[in-house]
Formats: sequence, structure tokens, C-alpha cells
Amino acid sequence: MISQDNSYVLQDLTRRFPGVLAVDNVNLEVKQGEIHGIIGRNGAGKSVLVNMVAGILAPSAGRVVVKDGFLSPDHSSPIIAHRLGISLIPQEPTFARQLSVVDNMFMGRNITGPANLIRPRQMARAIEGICERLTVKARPNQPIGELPIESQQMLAFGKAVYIDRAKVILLDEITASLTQERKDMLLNLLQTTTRQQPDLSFTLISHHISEVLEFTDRVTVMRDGARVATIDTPGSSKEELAGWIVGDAPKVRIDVPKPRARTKAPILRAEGLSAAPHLKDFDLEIHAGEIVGFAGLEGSGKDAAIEMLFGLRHPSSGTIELNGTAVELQDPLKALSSGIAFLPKHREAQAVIHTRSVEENTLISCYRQFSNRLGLIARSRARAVVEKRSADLRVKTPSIHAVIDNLSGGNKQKVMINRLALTAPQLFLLNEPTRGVDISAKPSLLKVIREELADKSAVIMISESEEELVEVCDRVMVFFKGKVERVIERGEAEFDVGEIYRQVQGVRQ
Amino acid sequence: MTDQNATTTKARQGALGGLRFDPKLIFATIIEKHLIWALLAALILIGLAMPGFMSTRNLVNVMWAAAPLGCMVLGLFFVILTGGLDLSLESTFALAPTVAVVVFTSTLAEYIWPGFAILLVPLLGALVGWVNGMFSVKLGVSAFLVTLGTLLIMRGIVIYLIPEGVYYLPDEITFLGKARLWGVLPVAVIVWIVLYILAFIAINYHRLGKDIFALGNNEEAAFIAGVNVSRTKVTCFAIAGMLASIGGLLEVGRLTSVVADMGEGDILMVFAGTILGGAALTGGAGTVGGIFAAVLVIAIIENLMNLYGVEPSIRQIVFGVILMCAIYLASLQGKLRNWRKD
Repeated sequence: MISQDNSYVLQDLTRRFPGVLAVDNVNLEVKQGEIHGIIGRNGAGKSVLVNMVAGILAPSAGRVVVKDGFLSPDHSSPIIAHRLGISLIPQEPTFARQLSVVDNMFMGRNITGPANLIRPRQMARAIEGICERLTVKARPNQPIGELPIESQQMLAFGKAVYIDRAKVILLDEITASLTQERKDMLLNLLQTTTRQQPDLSFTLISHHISEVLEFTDRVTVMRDGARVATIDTPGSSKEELAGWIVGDAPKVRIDVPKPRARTKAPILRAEGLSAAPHLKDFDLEIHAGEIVGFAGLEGSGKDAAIEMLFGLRHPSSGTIELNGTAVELQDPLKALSSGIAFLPKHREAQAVIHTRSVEENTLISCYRQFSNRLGLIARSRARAVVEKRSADLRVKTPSIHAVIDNLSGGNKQKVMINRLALTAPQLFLLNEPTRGVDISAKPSLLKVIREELADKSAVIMISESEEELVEVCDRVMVFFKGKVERVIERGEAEFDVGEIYRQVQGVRQ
Repeated sequence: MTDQNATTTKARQGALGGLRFDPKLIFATIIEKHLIWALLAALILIGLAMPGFMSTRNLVNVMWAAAPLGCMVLGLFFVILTGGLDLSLESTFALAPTVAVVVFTSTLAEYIWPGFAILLVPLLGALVGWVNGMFSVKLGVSAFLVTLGTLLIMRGIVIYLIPEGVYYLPDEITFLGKARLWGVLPVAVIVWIVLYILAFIAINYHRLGKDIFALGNNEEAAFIAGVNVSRTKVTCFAIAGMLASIGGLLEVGRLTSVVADMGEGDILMVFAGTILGGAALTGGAGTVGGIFAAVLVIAIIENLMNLYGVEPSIRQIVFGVILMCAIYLASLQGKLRNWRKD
């Protein structure tokens, strides 16, 4: 079906989600013996793409073709993919933590002898061999959960290569949990493995440019769901790749008011906040009417910083001052009562109260305001406020009594913003407010943030999208490996999507 | 745009379907939302055919017998809403009245008005619940293990205090469980109904209810939204203990005696009632009305079996079968919800 030297081929592979074209007509040939990189920013479609290759998501159209068969919209499942020799090593190892290394590695494919009895010694020996090759320190009968994540990650790799004998091996952000030393080792291992077994191919998904340059033979760049380029890695550079990844950045669309003169004292001042190894010496000063953006990769310290300001994480040193008085934020309750409101990153897991009404979801942070001394709720007053807020933000819902789960992502997010706003905070902390929101709904959400939230209060906003930061922020702080590397003010020449992206990636010119 | 049109058409069709008396849809709606009420109605229909069931006397007795169980079920409901559980309720049910009885039959009785028992019992129950809650929430020990421990401890205390039971009780202690208003309506039934009304208000019109549902549905989200998660959970345990102890007081009055094995083994029926009433073990789902109906269902089944003369030895089997059917139907609810969406 495919030519001899191809490992797998994607033909017009497409995946649609309601309102979003996640992967758009991708064609790609990956050769045998190749280490192929797939790079792109968050939301570029790389995860969806590999999940389709691994049979976890069925494509909406197109096919994934390998030597022995194919996956197509109505013929796709992890089991089929497995049978075709496709193996995905996920970012987080998915082992049964209580079971031993042997049991995990041989799960479902035990070495058996007569009468289907398993042969523990033979399996243990096999594991010892694999551990030696991967230089992982593990005893075969040890519960796998006792091992550090990076060892588990290496074992997942060993399982795919040596036990499942997969031919198409996808590594999804596997390097995220590895130390530099391990990364180098893995790189060498990938290369020796492809040399020994030339019918293998590795596909490495990453959003770290430097890793892709280090590890791969060729790299495919994804942008907005489409494959924009496939480049030979040797001879390419960080700058070239970054250029492809960012593309032509669209221009600013929202009118940002001129920064007001900062005559007043700052609302919040943080000094020297640290919590090893996530954050080092974080300083911040923010005034009413300002939006400060935090940019950075996963684990760069931006999440640690915003969570510290809400009492979800506790700094080991440093101080936080609110309106000139030092405060200690032990927990969200304390932060809320100090006038700080927080929108968490994972809306469904951390913010939405499922199966409950829009009204309850709006009010949950401020029922105190709407109840009398006995705690009984003033229903009509509460309802009137929710009605008004929902109308103001144009929350599309049949009624405020509708169950929130029936709303779209953008409308749920508006409900969450109303929830925050009702606590009348001086400072909004928004961790990826546009995450899981349809493209069409994003502008209105950003408008609300700029025009409503930042009107009287200060806003700190994290976004994976540099465009959004450039659109709404007055200042962008770029986090890299736990430190703020750069603060870029609106108006500076470097206040630009491409430049912020390069800073986020740690690319220096 | 086309997507939007499609959904609105579908919504319209759905609404029309409801009006068109599609039997399938009506059946689905009943199972999805009013399962327990349908079951209750069915049982009453069966009861109509049973001589003696509809007599005032019998109905009053059904309610009367349901009251103590009803209190425990309501208590467990509060804890289950938060995603927890409390096995020790049946021991609290016995311990609180036992302590009151011991106090008021001792020499102390001369110094305290016996009616004080009506206050002492709920306080004791709340205290026990509070201890359960503190252990499980603040120390992060699983509620199952903590309450399994207190279940045994409290039963042990009851056996130690009244190994042979107490059969002569002051009227003040038995009043709530025994007295009848106008010679007909047992006070116990009134107490039971008042407690359910209070619970209904607490769940639907009080801040506490909103906090309970929030953390039961999504604890992390509730925490981030500023709900005082641990305090709310402990409060629910305390409420549960208090309700169980009131239930115990009603039972003591109804039987005009306290015995060491009072309520022993009842916790299983309490769980059955709570689940039957629509509460989910994972927390955050269920209504006070559903729980109320579930208690009535259990009481009526028991009563019908009495009237019909079902052998005591096979009653458990009947209960078990009914429970399995109800749980199967309840498991359909989720699927039906999806079916209606499509």
C-alpha cells in the first residue's frame, strides 16, 4: 500500500471538533529509520494529529497508512493501532502504579510456557536486560509507582521498543520530565535503535524548538491545524523554525487605551517570591487599570507565580503587599477576601460546578453577599444580579436556571468571569482565559477582559497565545526556567508576537 | 451558522415531542427524573388492592415506623452529598438516646429536668458527627475507616452502658416518639416531616446547600471558588450525627425502651434508602424530595409485606430484589439523558 521505505503515511488527514478544525488536510510521509519531529504552538493541532495516528481519536476524514494496514474514520481504535505496530508514549506515564515493573511491562502479553503458565524468571530477565540498556535503575519486582517519573518514562519507551516491538513510535512531549543527561541518553538511544532496526521510525512531538533541533532528522511544522512545512533539521536553525511556527502574525485588533499615568500606589507588589525549583526571585508591581501578561512555556514558572498570588502555592521566601500592607495568602478564601479573584486554567476540572445551574455557578463565590444573617439566600435579588450580569456579557443560555454543562466553552467562561467579577476584586488573575473557547468567541472574551475587568481593577493574564497577549496587555513578562527573563512594555519595538515567542522559547539573537 | 440552525431545530423538535405525548419520551422522562415517585405510586396502587392498607390507622403506622429510618437516611444524605459516607450513624442512633436514658435514670435525674433530654440527644449526636468529620477531613483519613471505627466503639459503649436494655423510661424521653396529637397524629411523624422541611430549606435556600452541592460536584473548583471545603464537610457530618440521634430518640419513644442492639445493621437499609432516593455515592446529586419518597417506599414495602403475611425469612430477599431493580433503573438515567440529547 505504501512504498517500501516509508514507515507511515498520512493522507488528507482531517479532524473537526464542533466549531473548530483541529487538523486540516495533513499529508505527510515519514521514512523508516527516521526520527521525525512535529512542532507547533499549543493549539496548532499536533496532539490531535498524533492521537489520530495512535488510534485514540478517529479522523473525520483521511487515512493513516502503515505497512500492514490503515486507520480511517470508521476503522480506528487504539487496539487496531496497536496491532498495526503503532505505539504512543504519552507525556505522563500511564502505568498501574501498584503493580510491579514486570507486570506493567508485560501487561497483556506475558511470556507463557506450557498450559499458559507465565514464566516469571524469563520475564524478569528480560526486564533486567531492558533496564540495563536504558540505564534505568529498577528491580523487576518493584512496584513501578516507586520509580521516579523519568524512569517510568524510559520504561514506557522500553516497552514500546523491546516488548511491543512497535514500528511506529510516537513520543508525546516525552522530554518534558527528563533531565538534560537523560535527554542526551535518549537521543543516542533513538539513533542507535534506528540503526539496529532500520524498519522503525520515531516521531517526536514537542513545542521546544531546541529539542527538535537536537533530536530529529526532519521536522514538520504545524500551524492552525495545517502542515506548513517539513524541513531537514540539519542545516536549519532556531530562527528559521521559529519563523515557520509563528508565521505572519495578525495585527492588533483591540483598541488598548493609552496606559494611564501611574500616579497611584500599586495595588499589589510582590518581591522576591521564590519556591524552588518552580520560581526564583519573582518581582511584580501592578496598578489599577493595567493588564500584565505572563508568557512562558509549561513549567517556566508562570503558573507557579499566578498560583502564589492566590494562595494555591506558598512561597518559601518573598513578600506580597496589597495596597501597601503585607499579606499572607494561605488559601483561596484568604485571597478572595483580600480582593483577589482567580480563574483557573482547567475550566472543567477546576472551575465549573457540573450539573448545577448557571445561576449557582455565577454566585458560588459570593453567596455571602446575597444571604441574611441566618444564611438564607435572597433569591430574587440574587437572580436579578445574575440576569443582569449574564445579559451584560451576552451569556448564551436558555435561562439562568439551565444546567451549565449545556453551554459552549466561551459561554461557560463568561459565567466564570461573572463569578469572579461579582466578588468585586481589585486584582483579577486569569490563567488562560481563552483556553477551550471557540475561535469565534475569543475576541469578545478578550474585549470583556480589557474593557470591563481592567476598567477599575488590575488584571494578570496568562496565555499560550502571544497574539492575545499582544492584543490586550500593557506589559508582558516572559518566564523562562523559573525566572522572569524579560519584561516588555507596550510601545517598545519588541512588543510583538514573533519576538515574544522567541523570548518564550529562549531563542537569543 | 448551519450548526446553530441544526441545534435549534433539534431543540424545537424535542419540545414538540414532549407535547405530542410520545409514550417513549414520557416513560424516559419519568425514569430520568421521577423514578422514585413512580415507584411510590406503583406501591400505593398495589396497596389499594390490599385490604387494610388505606385505613388511616395503617397509614399512620407506616409513617410512624418510617420516621426513625427517615432521620438516618436524611443524615446520610447530607454526608453523601459531599462525597463522603458515615457508617456509624446506626451506632449514633443508639448511643445518643442511651446516654440520655442513663443520665436521666441515674441520681443526676433529680437535678435536671428530664425534658432536657430532647436537647441533650441532638447535641450528643452532633458532637459524635463532628468528631467523625474532624477525623476524616482534617486528618485526611478515609471516612469509611473512621466511621467504621466509631461504629464499633459506640456500639461497644451502648452494650457496656445498658447490657440488658432499659424498659421503663421517663415520659419526657419517650414523648417525641410516643405521643400523638389529638389522639391520632404521632409527634414522631411531625418531627420527621419538619426535619425534612428544614433540610429542604437548607439545601435549596441556604448558603450551606450551595456550598455542599458545589464541593460535592467539584471539590477543587469549590475550593478555588472560595468555598470553605473542610468546614462544610465537617458541618455535614455533624448534621448527620444530629439527625441520626433524633431518629434514635423517636425509635426509643416508639418502642418505649432502649435495647443494646437498637438499630444494629440498619445502616445498610439507610444506604439503600439514600441511593434509592437518587443520591449518588460520588456526591453532589440528589434531592430532599427524592430521599423522602425513598423512605416512604421502604416503609410501604415493609408494610405491604406485613399485610400480605410474607415470611420474615424472605423479606430481605424481596428488599434486595427491589433495590437491584431500582438501581438498574437508576443506572438507565444517565443513558436516557444521552439518548434524549441525540
